[in-house]
Amino acid sequence: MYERQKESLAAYYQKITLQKDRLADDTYHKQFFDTRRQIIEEFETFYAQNPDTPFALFKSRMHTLMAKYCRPVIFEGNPFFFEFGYREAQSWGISEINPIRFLKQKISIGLHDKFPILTQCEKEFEPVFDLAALGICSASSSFDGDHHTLGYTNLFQHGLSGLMEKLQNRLDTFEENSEEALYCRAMLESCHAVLTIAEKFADAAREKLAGCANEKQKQYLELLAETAGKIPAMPPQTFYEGLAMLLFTREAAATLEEIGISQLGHVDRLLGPLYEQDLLAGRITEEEARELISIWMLHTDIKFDLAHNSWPETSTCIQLGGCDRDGQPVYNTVTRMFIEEHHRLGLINPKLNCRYRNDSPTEYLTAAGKAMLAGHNNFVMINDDIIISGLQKSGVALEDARMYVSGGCQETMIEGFGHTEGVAFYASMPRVLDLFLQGDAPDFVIPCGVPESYEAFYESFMTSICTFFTKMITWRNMRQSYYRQLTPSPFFSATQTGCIENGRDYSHGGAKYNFSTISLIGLGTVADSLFAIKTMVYEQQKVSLPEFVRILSANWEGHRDLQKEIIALPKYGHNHPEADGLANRFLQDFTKNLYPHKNERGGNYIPSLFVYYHFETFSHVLRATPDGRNAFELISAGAAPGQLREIKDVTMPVKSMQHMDFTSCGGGSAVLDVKLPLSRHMTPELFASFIRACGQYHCPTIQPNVVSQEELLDAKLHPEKHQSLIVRICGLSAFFVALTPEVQDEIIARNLYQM
Amino acid sequence: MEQTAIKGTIFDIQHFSVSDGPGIRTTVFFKGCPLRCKWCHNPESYVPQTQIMYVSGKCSLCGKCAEICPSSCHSIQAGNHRYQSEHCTGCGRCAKLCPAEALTCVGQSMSAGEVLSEVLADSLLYETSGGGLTLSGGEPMLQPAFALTIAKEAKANGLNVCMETCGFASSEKFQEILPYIDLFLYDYKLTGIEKHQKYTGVSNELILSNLALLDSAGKDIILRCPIIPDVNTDDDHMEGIIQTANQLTHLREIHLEPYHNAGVSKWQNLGLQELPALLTPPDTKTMDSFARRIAAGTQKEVHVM
Repeated sequence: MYERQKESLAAYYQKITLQKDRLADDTYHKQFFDTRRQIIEEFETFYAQNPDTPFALFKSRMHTLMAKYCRPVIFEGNPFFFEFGYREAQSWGISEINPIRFLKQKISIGLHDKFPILTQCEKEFEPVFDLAALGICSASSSFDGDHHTLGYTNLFQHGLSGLMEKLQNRLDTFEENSEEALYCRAMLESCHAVLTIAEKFADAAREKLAGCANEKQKQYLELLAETAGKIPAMPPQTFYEGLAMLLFTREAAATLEEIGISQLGHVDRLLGPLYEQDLLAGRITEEEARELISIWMLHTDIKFDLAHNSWPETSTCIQLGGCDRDGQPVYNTVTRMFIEEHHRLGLINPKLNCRYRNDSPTEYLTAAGKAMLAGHNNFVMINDDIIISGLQKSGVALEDARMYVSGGCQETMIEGFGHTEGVAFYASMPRVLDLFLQGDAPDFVIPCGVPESYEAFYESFMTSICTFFTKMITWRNMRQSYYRQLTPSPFFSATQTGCIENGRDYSHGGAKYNFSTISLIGLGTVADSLFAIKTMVYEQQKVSLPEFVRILSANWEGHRDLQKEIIALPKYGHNHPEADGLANRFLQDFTKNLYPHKNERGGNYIPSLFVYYHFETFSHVLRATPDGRNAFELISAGAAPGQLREIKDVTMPVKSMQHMDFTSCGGGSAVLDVKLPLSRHMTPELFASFIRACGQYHCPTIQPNVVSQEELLDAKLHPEKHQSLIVRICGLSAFFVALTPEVQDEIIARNLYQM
Repeated sequence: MEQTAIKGTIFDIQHFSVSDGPGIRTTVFFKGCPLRCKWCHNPESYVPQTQIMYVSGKCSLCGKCAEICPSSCHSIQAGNHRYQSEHCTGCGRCAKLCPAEALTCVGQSMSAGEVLSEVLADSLLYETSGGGLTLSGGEPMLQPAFALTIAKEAKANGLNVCMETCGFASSEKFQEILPYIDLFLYDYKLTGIEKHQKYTGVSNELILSNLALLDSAGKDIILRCPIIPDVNTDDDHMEGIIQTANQLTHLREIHLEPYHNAGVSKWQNLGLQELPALLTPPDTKTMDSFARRIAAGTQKEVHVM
């Protein structure tokens, strides 16, 4: 059954794989673009007649048209309905060919005409691209096209019809033609479009049913005809309906809104009770549930040719474990089934984002451990205590904070309460330090001068780095306040608490919470650099600051002994209270300075310490740093230590975390990569104990890998022998052999903590 | 804590150890061993003094070590580094200076307090996993007062304490330390006095009487049996294991440890003249058949490690 589904989905997605700007199969290409043309033509007519329509209503109009022309794809023998026929196979955030893309482009042009200041604003933003070229930040995109989660819990509770009823009631309270009333109308229209598409799936199933002779296939089609439409309109009543709700609404939002919906839902919290009910009523067996889960999980891996994809990001995750809104731990048969089926099928996606806390059942952690130790490197273990306390510090109510999920990689999102903009931008702190010391980019980073004491030096650096961030944020807010016009998402917003009540889109601050996250790169490198300056320049006075700066710009040439001495100094992440303390002080001071900043939606900026592969590009432009690092070598990743000193064992960075307070990140995730020992005596139970101890040492998010150095090296030489080797990297999992040699080398270099 | 000022020589502290007793443990390796097993893969544990380890692959032939060594242990001859350890005092000057990190010090003097503070840092890992501290070596009972202080303090801090021992130490010292040890991982290497003398350098009489002593004191014991091809893979030894096991009341498990030759390069690195015989490690099938046989004869849990 699963295998047949795999084949039939693979055959379809292979045809709609984008090759340059064409779909692989000409017939499909023509069909896609004919439909797109029809929609655009009709939209243009509407646009010409109503040029002053608010943007959200343009979008909802587009949704209506997309619903009208939608030709749903039904896969034989598949009980789910999710393929709208509007996006190419590999699309996970912004699609190349989706008709909605056209709208964005069109409005974008209109926006410049409407707001001449935008052109001016973009001109002022230009220096940020210089900054990106300097290797300080990544600022290529003005939107967070990923890191969204739909308000699944609201959908499960009210059904889309329930939300629409709420909308209608709210609409009646707004003054006619007010901005809020018009926006509510857009939300209503978009929700209608989603319902229409669901009903079209039912129609398509009925049509197929007429000519179907196969009994088994008939059953599936009848199920589809009966379910599509009821889902998403009504709250799901069965386990199957729950799965169908998650998959259909996720695809609807991703297709209609053009924002990456990376989270497929906190599946065990949402589906656990439905499964138990079904089981009690004799409606389902565990075997049937497992089959449904496996087919449900199949739809991501199959769209991407992961075995030949050198950067296999799909940005699709599920959340497991943690707790519910009342604080009760979440672990049930559904948790176990998802972990076990994922492992059994050797899937890469959806990524498994596992929340844990002090009272998480051992059975849960052991189930994850069992898969991990068998080399299924697809897990992150997220510490509830750090994230929830952090969110509370940012002003999130406890019950709301408990609803957090995470994705694209590990970015925190509060499900059903808005958007936390996982990455507003990445910033390389070591590069800021470098420019601060060398003083050769004074327009961006205030140079250091010659402070007399370490405290004066530190203050001056903190001022400089904060000034830099203030500048970045000001630029960004200015640009965003115009560009957000492009991204009203009325269907997505209708599922977020606050948007209906306020009659405002999430992109305009309508939701209850409106954070933006800045990802800080190189904490370990900066902390170790500060430690080196404190010790060598100010305490032991072995080298003056100007001399030290000269040595760095000459990449330690002629001063290898000094470099060696510096490398031997205590380092962050080695359980050295003073070195860790310095890192913590830096983090606390920085976050304190960041909090007063508001984004364009009125929310706070929060920092996160995780890293995507950008840190490699950031590293390769960076001169030698005071911690002893040579020019162009890798800087530290996420919350992990730098790589200058060997980490002897996994307990070292874990114990270091007790000297850090990552709750100050206000819910932003901090990720620690750890390599677990490959001992035959390492059991799932010990893995569970280890994770539990990590929580007690206040570790933030743990990204574990279980793989031997020998296997990595051999896989690089003989890829044919290691086709199924999965490794975890930068927030995603991948087949090792499909990665580029550079990334493979980086993973080998980072594969620390040999036992 | 005054007593914890007592010093000893340690050659490694291994964290996250999962094969030296239950749970996640920290294993403290004491330097110095009274036995000279022909198959030993830890020759750096032999002598109680600090030693210099030389890894030729890392050496840049800079000659700085030859200049600084007060005992002329290092020399560069015809583009080769020669290390002769006979006169080495373990002063460590060469290792400190070596830019290529080809020279390292094995063994350091630590106080019991220092060892304990490193061990106690992992307490949360022991609590969540049922783990604790393991004293190993070398032979921990070769530094009995040091071992006793550590074990006592660890117990006072609520830790589970295991000891890996070859059993060759004074019975009084075992009597003294046994209240502070929860589980002994006790070596059973060879059957027969002569054979034991031949391959380890000592007789097994004291070892067996200490084993009986621990058992009669009611201590939990795991028997650890190295399996060395052509040395102790004979029927007599298998029978010996079974008989010994059956005489023990508090034996919990039997661990069979297949010989491996991973430590051979260490002999050269330490500048030792005599190299151990290079044997072929026993295969899994052989190990499993031994395990089945011993399990059948003892009704005990037997694990191949």
